[in-house]
Amino acid sequence: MAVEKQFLEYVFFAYSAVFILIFLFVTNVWRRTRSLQQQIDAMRDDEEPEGES
Amino acid sequence: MRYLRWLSLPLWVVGLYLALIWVPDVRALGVSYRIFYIHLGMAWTALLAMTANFVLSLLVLVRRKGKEETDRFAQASAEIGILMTTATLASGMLWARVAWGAFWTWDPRLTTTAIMWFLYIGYLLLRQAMDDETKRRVYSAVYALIVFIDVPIVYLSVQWWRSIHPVVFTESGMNITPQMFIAVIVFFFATLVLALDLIYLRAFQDKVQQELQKRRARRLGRLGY
Repeated sequence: MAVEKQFLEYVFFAYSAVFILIFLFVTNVWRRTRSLQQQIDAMRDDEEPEGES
Repeated sequence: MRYLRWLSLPLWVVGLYLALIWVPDVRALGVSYRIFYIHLGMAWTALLAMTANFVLSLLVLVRRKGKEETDRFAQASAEIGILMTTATLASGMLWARVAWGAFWTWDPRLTTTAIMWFLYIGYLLLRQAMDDETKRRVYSAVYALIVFIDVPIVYLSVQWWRSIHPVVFTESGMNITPQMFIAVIVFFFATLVLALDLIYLRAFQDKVQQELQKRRARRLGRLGY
């Protein structure tokens, strides 16, 4: 059993590495998109002052 | 496209269960063989993403309408292809350490995959280097068509040259048990659906960025710059 499970850490590192990569990519894209959308909204607010339709 | 995310999640849960618990260990490699499932799923998806980049780049050059949108998806598929290739190389190196005793060997499959990774990094760098939108679209599409040559070479490298890399499908049939094949297929679909979702997410980000640039240009125009 001990021999069979001796490489368990490699399995853990392999799966973790893939998940961390995907997580970093998704959070980076998501944060950047949100930031860009906020900038667009701010510009829209500047172009259409309050009270103006 | 949002439903893809909800399809991806259960597929990943089932895939992880099958790969880490359900499928028995392979006697020669023990528990380390479980890296195979995530490694193969990522590798196949990476090759498909690069193929999508090739098809979309061809469409950019051939089509008259919708070039901007097609180009956006071409870039996104190359990025996801690089992400998946990085995951393939990382998981493969860890598995190689157990199976072959070294993180890296200059095996044809490993070498051609590393070359593919560098070629597509070059694709992204080329896009970054050009400001003119039309030039960027055409030049990067032509570059994508040329570098795609490496993708079938990656797949066929184990048949063309002497390789120690394991092969799943051979002329004599499948090299894995039916139980392992089920886990492979589920993991592959989980990765594929995730990749499609990520491509859409990345293309959408690019669309928002272009919209912002257009608005900025209009504003500067109004101010007389």
